[in-house]
Amino acid sequence: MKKKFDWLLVLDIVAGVGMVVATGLVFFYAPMEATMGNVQRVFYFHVANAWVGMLAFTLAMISGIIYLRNKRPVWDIVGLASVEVGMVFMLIAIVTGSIWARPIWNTWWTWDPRLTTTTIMELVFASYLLLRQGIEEPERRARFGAVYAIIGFLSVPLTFFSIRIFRTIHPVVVGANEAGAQGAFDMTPKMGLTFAVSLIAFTILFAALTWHRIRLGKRAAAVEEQKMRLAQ
Amino acid sequence: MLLTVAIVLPIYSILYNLNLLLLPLIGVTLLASWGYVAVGTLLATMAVQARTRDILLPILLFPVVIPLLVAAVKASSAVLGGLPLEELTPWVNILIGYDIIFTAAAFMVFEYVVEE
Repeated sequence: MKKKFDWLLVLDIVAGVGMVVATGLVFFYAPMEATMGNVQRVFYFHVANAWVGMLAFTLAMISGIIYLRNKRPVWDIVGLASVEVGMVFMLIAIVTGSIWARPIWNTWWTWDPRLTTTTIMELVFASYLLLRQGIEEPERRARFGAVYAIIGFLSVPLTFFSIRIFRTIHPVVVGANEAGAQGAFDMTPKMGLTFAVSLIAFTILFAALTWHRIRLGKRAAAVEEQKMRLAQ
Repeated sequence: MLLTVAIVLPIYSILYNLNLLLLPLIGVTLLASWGYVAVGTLLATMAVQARTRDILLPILLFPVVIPLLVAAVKASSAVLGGLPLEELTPWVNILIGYDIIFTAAAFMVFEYVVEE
């Protein structure tokens, strides 16, 4: 086997270093928030995970469109990879949000518009995985997966715009807060830096994980092809 | 869907001794049915071709129509509760937006679902 320069390994190392730096900044550099105390530190990971989750679902939608246009199996693999990785990140965002909400809102979970729409988003992509399970034929599975990723993604911005109309208790980081938002705060420059580093670190981690998942998907497809050839 | 509405509304009007045949309520029902049918047709076409077709359709359909259902329920309760127009319009706007977006999307992707 020819040994060639592995960009993925570089990305892995960068992602690892980025995560260590982000964690270090969150725990030792970012100042303590005045009213909420230490529990506010979960915010840096919560927002970064939610952002990466949305990014992953967007990537799934885009690869769905590209797949329907040119029918190259690699785009189906990309779509599946980003949905799987995105679901994990979104779940982390929900869990960390829950941990933060317990002391701040005095409840683990509430049917706030923001929380509800996030749950819907997670459920839509869980259905995406179930749909793929139900179809044997690879070409049709890819086609339907792409269609459902597009349809499912549409409900994401729709539900997110719908919350602008209501009072929500979820604080908004970018832009103006609703009067009813509980647990909102203004970022100091140190907090802003930590936040930015954390966002970038999680985005790089997402890229690395998705890349790994795509490579795994390609190998699985190759194995499948070999099996088909042997069976004939 | 429309047939159900056409049957259910008069019957409920008689049974509950309450006039449900209000123009705004009919409008809300029409908008909600439109969106439901647009998404439902597309997803049902996909679901019948899958192995687990019986359970798959509700699983696929439900998360996607939740915004529509919530908006329809809120809008009809605003109509029935006699709330002012400001309470009603945001929900009707969501219904209209949902209808337009999903009808357009369903038309765009439908050919990929039926092609063989």
